[in-house]
Amino acid sequence: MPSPDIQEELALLVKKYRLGKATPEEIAFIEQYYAWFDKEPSPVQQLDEMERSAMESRILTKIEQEMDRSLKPASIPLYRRSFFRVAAAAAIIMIFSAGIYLWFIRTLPSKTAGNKSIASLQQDRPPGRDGAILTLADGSTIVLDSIQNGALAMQGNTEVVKQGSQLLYNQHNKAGNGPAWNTVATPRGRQYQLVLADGSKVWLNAASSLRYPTSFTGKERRVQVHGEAYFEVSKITLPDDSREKMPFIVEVLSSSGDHISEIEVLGTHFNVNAYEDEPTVNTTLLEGSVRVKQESSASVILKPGQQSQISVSSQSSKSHQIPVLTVDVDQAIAWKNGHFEFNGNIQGIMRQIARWYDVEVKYTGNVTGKAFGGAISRMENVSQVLKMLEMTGSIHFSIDGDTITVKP
Amino acid sequence: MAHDVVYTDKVLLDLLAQGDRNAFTILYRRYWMSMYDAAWKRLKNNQQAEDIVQEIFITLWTRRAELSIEQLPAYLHTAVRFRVLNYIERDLATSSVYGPLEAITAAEQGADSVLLEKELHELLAAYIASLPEKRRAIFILHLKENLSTREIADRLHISQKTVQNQLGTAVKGLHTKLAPVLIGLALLQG
Repeated sequence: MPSPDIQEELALLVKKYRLGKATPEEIAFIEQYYAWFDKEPSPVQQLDEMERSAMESRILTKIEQEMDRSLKPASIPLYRRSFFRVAAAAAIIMIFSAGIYLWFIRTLPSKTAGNKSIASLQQDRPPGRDGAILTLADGSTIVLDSIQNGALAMQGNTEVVKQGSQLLYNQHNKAGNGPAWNTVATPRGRQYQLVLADGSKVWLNAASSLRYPTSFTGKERRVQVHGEAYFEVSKITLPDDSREKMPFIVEVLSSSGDHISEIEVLGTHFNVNAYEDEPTVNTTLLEGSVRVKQESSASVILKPGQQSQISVSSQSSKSHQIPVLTVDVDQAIAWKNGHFEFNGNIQGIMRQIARWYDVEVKYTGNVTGKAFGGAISRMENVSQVLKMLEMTGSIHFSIDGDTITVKP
Repeated sequence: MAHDVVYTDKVLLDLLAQGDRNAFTILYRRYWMSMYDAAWKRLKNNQQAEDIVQEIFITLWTRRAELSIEQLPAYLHTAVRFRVLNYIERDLATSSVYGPLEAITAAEQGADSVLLEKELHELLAAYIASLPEKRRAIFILHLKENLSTREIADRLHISQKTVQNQLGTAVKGLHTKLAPVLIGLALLQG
């Protein structure tokens, strides 16, 4: 127990500080004393994502209750409050007349607007979060959502460490037995990040998986991907003294294990979108250079800003050159930066929503052929995303449990 | 390269001033944890830390129209500091908040390697510097030369009772481990 006079002394000093009567020396001491505690460990940092998010919501709910209890503030002039809505609506009307419902708003969806226009969104779905399942070489699995930070396992001479929402592979020495293979798989509504033994970073989107060796020893680095992943591949040289670069090869596989395509790089940033339910496997290059190969087809080399689109179903494409387009790369990696950037038909948009919010999507009436655009944070509840789309007036949604119904 | 759809504090504060609750929620999500951390590290009390976060955000909401905040993190953390200090002033803080002060004023309770930490030395120096002149002199004589209250009284021509009162019961004598700091202090004092 602290001695009473220490308590008194500090209380007295703090009182002088608060009343502005403290000397500069006393102020310096109080502030230094306060800063002293900065280095102490913090309990919230130790919580896992789920506990932290529960705590965040619980405190927010209390604050909101208090906010609702306090008197409504004096009304704010309509033109100020609704500036963004008016601007957005004007933009929509203009584009509407052009026949395509395409618009971009980079502003917050207004809550008041949402409450008025949408009656059917009382139910909601929280956004996805960080989490995945790690499968070690011996087949054992670890759920990464809730496990504590720290070393999880040794795989050969490589240590597997969980740090925040990242999985790190620390290779302890170069020599050693053959690599072990690990797999990280995200379900719907989860995303995860890894740093492989060579320092390459991989972001895994929802409903995706990456299989990779826990150390890189041979002539090449080879990993396998399902779903969607963003890679920042580090340049490394071969372990021999040739100083040659060790290529990094991403095999894109179908769920049945069929080899769809192969992406070969030396060190670069690119995104692979290879979801089964998407019409094409898209490889988008941000930096560096990649070679995209398809079985029995000529390979193409992408430049930054380009995207290759391999059609999985169409047999005829085999004999053709792989199509390459110039695209908005920000849109391709929006997910990795924590937001949606929609620009296309409603089915494609709803597939992204389904994977991130882990919902089923049903359609009633004819909504095909309509294109939508817009950007919004992936950290919003699904209702906010749907409200943004509803602002066009040409589409509506209802939520029932884990099913979203899309209607004209 | 990639642009993030991240709203700056300034944009969010402008929206907040107009009553936008989404902006408020985003700001809350952005800062609640570091604020909670800061409060908890001092008070070691979940409820108090939570109350502080709530009070500050409720204030932010109710005063949204009149506030003019340049640096939101600095504003929020100053608010946390004042509330934490308020708990200390009202004697509501848990005993752990007195830990460093105890360590610097009563070395025999914790005269281990912790005392040698640079930060603690600096804190001690700041503490002694903050004392009124007479008390500081007594402190330095006591700590540096390990003089008894009797000897200090003789040296400064004051009563032993006064010396005892000035030192406070907590200060029984700091160990020689602190000598380097104290010598440094004495040099500073000239």
